[in-house]
Order: sequence, then structure tokens, then C-alpha cells
Amino acid sequence: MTYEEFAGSRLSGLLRYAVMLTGDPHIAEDLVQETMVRVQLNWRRVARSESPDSYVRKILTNQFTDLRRGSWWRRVLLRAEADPAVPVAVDHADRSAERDQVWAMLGSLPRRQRAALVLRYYEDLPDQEIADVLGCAVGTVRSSISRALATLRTELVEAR
Amino acid sequence: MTPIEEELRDAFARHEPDTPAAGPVHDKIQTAWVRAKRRRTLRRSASVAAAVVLATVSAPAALSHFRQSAAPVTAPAASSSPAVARPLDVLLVGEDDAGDADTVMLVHLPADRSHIYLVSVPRDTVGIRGVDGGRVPGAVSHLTGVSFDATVTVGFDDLRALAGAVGPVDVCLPAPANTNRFRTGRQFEAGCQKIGADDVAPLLRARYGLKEGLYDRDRNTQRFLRAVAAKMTADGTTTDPARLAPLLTMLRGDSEVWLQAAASLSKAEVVGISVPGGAALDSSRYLGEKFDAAVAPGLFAAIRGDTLAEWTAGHPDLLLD
Repeated sequence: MTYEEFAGSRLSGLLRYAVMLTGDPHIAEDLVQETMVRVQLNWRRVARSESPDSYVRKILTNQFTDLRRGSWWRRVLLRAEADPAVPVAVDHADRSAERDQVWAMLGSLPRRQRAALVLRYYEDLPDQEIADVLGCAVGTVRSSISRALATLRTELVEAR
Repeated sequence: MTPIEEELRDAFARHEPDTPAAGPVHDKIQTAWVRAKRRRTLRRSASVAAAVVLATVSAPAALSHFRQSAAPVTAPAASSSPAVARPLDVLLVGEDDAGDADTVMLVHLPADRSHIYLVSVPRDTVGIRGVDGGRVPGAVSHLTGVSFDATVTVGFDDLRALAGAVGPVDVCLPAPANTNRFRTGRQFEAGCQKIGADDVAPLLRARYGLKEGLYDRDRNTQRFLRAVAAKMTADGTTTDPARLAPLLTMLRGDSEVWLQAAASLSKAEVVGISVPGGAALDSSRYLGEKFDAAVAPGLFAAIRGDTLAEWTAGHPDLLLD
């Protein structure tokens, strides 16, 4: 598989994943751009790996969780607009505003917890694969997901 | 599925339409990639320049020493009589850890052996890009019209072993440099300091805090190389088999040509030349690198005609340091 073929078929999926991780389309774009430049620089290694898809997902997730690793984070800091932690969408229809509270609260979670939630509830990955992506044990994945769910539950109860 | 889990799934699904369109992002990635690749080419060239300079300086002496001790019976006078002075062209291929050709450099030794010219060719030049390791020399000859007396292959890891064998050298830096953009990495202060095996890789990578980043860093690389070359020829490293053994591991391929190049090379001036070039694009698709058509043909003609002294005098801006 060439890089072009990979990018052609996977770019949209990676962008969707990055939106779920960051909660902001612009930051998601920066994150994917940074990731794909790295992927291209190391394309031969990526193409030879067992699963290029999970390799690339891993690179992207690492960039997101490790603040100091990528220059995309500098761009985030330089960007004057939307703080990723603060939700923009305020719908005045009560019901939908309430529904979006979960989305808003995701921004306040530690990044690894948020990544674990996205990998399980959006990407639908089994816990073993989530552990591979995050580079930790399956038990750690489960405990951070249950901690994240507990945080969300508590905050939702307080908010409503 | 608990209620909170359901809410999460809903929230993700609801925000799927926020996803940016892939097309414009793809174009931005290609632009950023061309820039990143150019930076990498510079970086790699510096490492390989380091290796080839050391090989060029040390190998002739090293190999002649080993040859004499291994075969003392053969008449050395006949084989060591001065070779007919003619220019030599050596192709240097820098391999990455996977054994792929990562850096390509032409090394030209003029007939008078007064200089060592290093001419880097981007590995991704159209015509070389994607070519099998064994066919790289042919591809480079085809592009440049230069035919090679030998091909030398250098692994990146060899540099550290080489530096270990030589021992610490004094390098004087005009400005402080750091390996990390947040200045939290290895810090090199301005001024003269000892650079040992463990310092080499950080020094050759340190470009943060420098006024001209990579370019200043490459000048530091040259300062390091000069220091190494000076030390090796001055303290007799080149005649000590125990210290030379690690150096020999970096030379593969036809080594006879290094013997011909002779020990006088240790006094030659090292000149690095960058071939200007840019991205070859087919609409927005990146095909590889291409030479600057206004400059490259003249450079390659000067290599073939052994007139690089004149050529470099006319192109001071393309010379390293």
C-alpha cells in the first residue's frame, strides 16, 4: 500500500477520531496534519507494520496525550480561539443543551481517560486493542474508563 | 449499557458532522510534508558528512596499516608506489537501520588531493527515489553523468563507535545550543568543551536556541569534524590498530580506492556543497525532489571535469561554512 492510497481511504476516519479526542475541528485538523507528516516520514516502517491502521492511530493518540511531543500543541496554545476544554455549542433548547453537557465535560477529563472513552465508545475497539494504542495494561484501560464514567456521572448529577 | 454510556455514544455520534472535509486537510499535509522532508534531508546529510569525512581521513592510513601487518611477505614497494594522480569519485550511501539507502552523497577527490568535496543529493530525488539499494549508484550516475570509482556504505550507528574510538575532542561553539525546543534537553554552552562519544549525537542534533537553527547546527557538525580529523592525524590514532578496529567496521564495499586516496588526504580541506533543489510536484502530488536546473548541470560538469575549485569560487553561497 502506498501512502497516497492510505491517506485517500483513511483520512476522513482519522479526522473524525481526532474531533472526538479534541472536541474541536480546528485542533483536530492540526493534530491529524502533524500525525500524517510523521506517518509519511516513516512510511516504509508504517507500511511494513502488522496493521498500518493501528500504528497510525497509535501515533495520533500519542501526539494527543503527550503535550510536549508535538508542535501541534504549540499551535493550540498560540491559537486565540476556542479553548478545547470549553464547549462552544450552547443550544437554548433545554433538552439538547442538557444532552451536550456530556460532550462539554469530556474536555475536563485527563487526556488518556478521554482517549480511552473515545476508543471504546466511538471506535468500538476491544479493551486489548485500546491497551495497545495507549501502551498500557488492559486493567489500566478498564480502571481509567470506569473512573472517567464515574466522573461524568457525578458531574452530570450535579449539573442537572 | 448504562445510561451514561448511551449518552456518550450519542454525544460522539452527534458531533460527527463537525469533522472537517478531508480534501483541504490533505493538501495542507502535503505542504507541511515537503517542508519537513527538506529539514530531514539537511539533518541526515550532516550525519553522513561526519561519517564520510572521518572515513576519508582515517581509512587510507588504517587500511594500509592492516595490510602491512597481515601480509608482510609481499613486496609493499610495488603496491604502495604512488598511484597515477587522477581525480576519484566515490559514492557514499548512508543506510538507515532498515538497510535502505537514506542519504546519497558524491565525494570528489581532485587530482591534486587538495580538497575533499562532499556533494549531497537528496535521497528522494526523482530517479533515485524508491530505487533498490543495489541500483542506487547506477541511478545517481544516470542523473549526474558522474561514474564512480567505488561505492561506500555507512550505517548511522557507526558514528558513535567511531567517536568512541577517537576519544574526546575539543570543540568550540560560538553560541549555546539545546536538543529540545523547550530547552529542557541536553544543553551545550558557548565556548570550548570536550565532546565524547555520548555527546556526539546530542551535539549533532542540538539546533534549538541557535540563531539559524539547523544551519548553525550543521556548522557545529563541521566544527566537530575538524576537531576529530585534527586529533586523529595529530595524536597518532591512525597508527594504533586497537583504536582503529572500530573505525574499520564502517567501511564496506570496495576499499581499495581509499588506499589510492592516500594519507595525504588528512591535510586536505573539506568542502561541503549543497545542491539547490525543490519539490517536484504533479499538480499538488509530491513526486520527489528535483535539482535546480540553473545550477546543478554546471556543478555536475565541474565534478566530471575536475574543475570544482573554479566552480566553488563562483558559488560561495552554496558552500557549507
